[in-house]
Formats: sequence, C-alpha cells, structure tokens
Amino acid sequence: MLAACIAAAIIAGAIATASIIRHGLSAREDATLVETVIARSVRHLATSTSMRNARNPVPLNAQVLAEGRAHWADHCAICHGNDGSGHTEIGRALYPKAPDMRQPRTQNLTDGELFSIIRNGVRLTGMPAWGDPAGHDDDDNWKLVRFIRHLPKVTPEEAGQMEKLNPKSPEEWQHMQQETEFLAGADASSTPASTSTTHSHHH
Amino acid sequence: MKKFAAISLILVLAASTAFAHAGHIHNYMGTVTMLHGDGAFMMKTTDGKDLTIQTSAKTKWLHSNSHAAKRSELMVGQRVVVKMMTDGKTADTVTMSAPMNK
Repeated sequence: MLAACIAAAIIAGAIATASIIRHGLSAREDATLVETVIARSVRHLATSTSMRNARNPVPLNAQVLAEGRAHWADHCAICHGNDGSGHTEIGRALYPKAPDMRQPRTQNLTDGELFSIIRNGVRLTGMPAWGDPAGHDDDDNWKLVRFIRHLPKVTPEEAGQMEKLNPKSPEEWQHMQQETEFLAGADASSTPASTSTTHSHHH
Repeated sequence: MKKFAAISLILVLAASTAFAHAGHIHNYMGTVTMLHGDGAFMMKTTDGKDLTIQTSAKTKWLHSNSHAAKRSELMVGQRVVVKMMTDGKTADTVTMSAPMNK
C-alpha cells in the first residue's frame, strides 16, 4: 500500500515537473485536471461536517438579495464578474481561473461550503478570506451566499445597477459620468476624444 | 525518492499560487451609423473613428436608465456606449440612448 502511494506520488510529481518545465509558471494556463481534483478534494476535506451542513440563517427576501448584490458588486465582481461568470480581466488571469459560479460545480456546493469559502478563503488561489475573523461580518457573508444562489438568474437590469456599484478609480468615475451625459444628449463635440476609448489596466 | 516526490508535490502547489496580469477592456462612445443583419453594427466614435461592433447571444443590451433593452431597438443615429468583452472583438454590453436623443 505504501509502495503504491509512493509510486502514485512520484508519477504525479513527474507529471507536474514535466508540465512546469514545458509551460513554466505562467498563470495563463488552465489548471490541470490533477491539480483541480486535488484542490477540490482537499477543500472538501478541510470543511468540517458541521460547517458543510450549516443552514443559512439569513432569510431569503428582496432586501437580503439587494444587500448581497450590492456587496457582491463592490467586493467580488472585480474577479468573478457581476454575473458570476468569472469573465473579467483579473478572473481570467488568475491561476486557477475564477470559476463560472452559475454552473453546477459551484451551485451544487452546500450553503455552508460557500460560506466557508467566503469566510476562510482558499489557499494558493486568488480567493482571500473575507470579513472579521471574530465573525462580526458573518451575516454579510451569508447574504452573499443567498446572492450566489441567485447568480444564474441575474437580469441585465441587475447587472446594469451593479456596474454603477463596481469599484472605480477617479478616472473611471469621470468616464462613467461622461458616458451618462453623452447618452443623455450632451454635446458630443465637448466630450474629450480620449474618453471614447477607455483602457483599463489592472495589475 | 521520497524527497523527490515531496519536492514535486510542493512544486505542484507552488505553481498554483495566484498571479494576475490582465489585459485591456475597451469602452466606446459614439453614434450608430449602420445595422448589419448578423447582429453587428457600425458606429462612429466621438473622436471620429468608424468601428464595426460584433454582438453575440451573450451581449447585454441596456437603456441608459439601466433597464433591459433589445437588439431590435437599436437604430441608426442612436447614441451608444459599448463595453467590449475581454476578447476585444465582441460587445459585452451595449447601452443605448433613448430614441428621442438620436
């Protein structure tokens, strides 16, 4: 048994080493199947049964969803996207890439598992631990869990509202204001040419 | 041999450390100049450039008040703000002015 485990570890290590030699340490690559399986298994095992089975103490209602949506737009969307697709500049450049949270792989996690991931983060990924370690922000995290359940049904109107809540630099705020004024009929000739093309860089 | 296996596993984990280097997202402001049957449209940006914007089933269409719009509501002469997808080719979101502002 021990020999089999060692052999498996050696094979996995050899594959990983070959992969690193071939591809380097670029974050542009997709995570390998082996890494994904190991990471998900470890994450599952690292979540206690009581946490995994924990029920969301926050009721589902419009107010909670609105608060979760605003929180998501302000804290999560920069990587995960307002719609949870992960199709953002940062989300696509992470290793592993931000998952499409609308898909069963995320939606099939229990509320407790989602809460645990938000509260504790996931090591060796881009997912940080959110909130006060003492648990003062637990309600906000449970509201996020409610909103994560809603991600497959986010409407274009909700996405539009969330865009206004996404973190922005002073320059981006200025551009958003100019775009709003432009759509409202402001004189296009007074709009600086440089605002017609916005380059966003995130490092 | 065990040491080799351990080092290899550490390398696997080390390779998972997240680094981010992102590209560009483009927003274009301008006026619709032509509609194509395949969902694409042409626009003239506020700095005078002519662009062809591709759209897809994933493209979100909005009115300037953030209410949902439809592709079929887009008209020549209408002002639009287009946020491109990260591929730089397809519109992620097209926000259109009210028809009276065309």
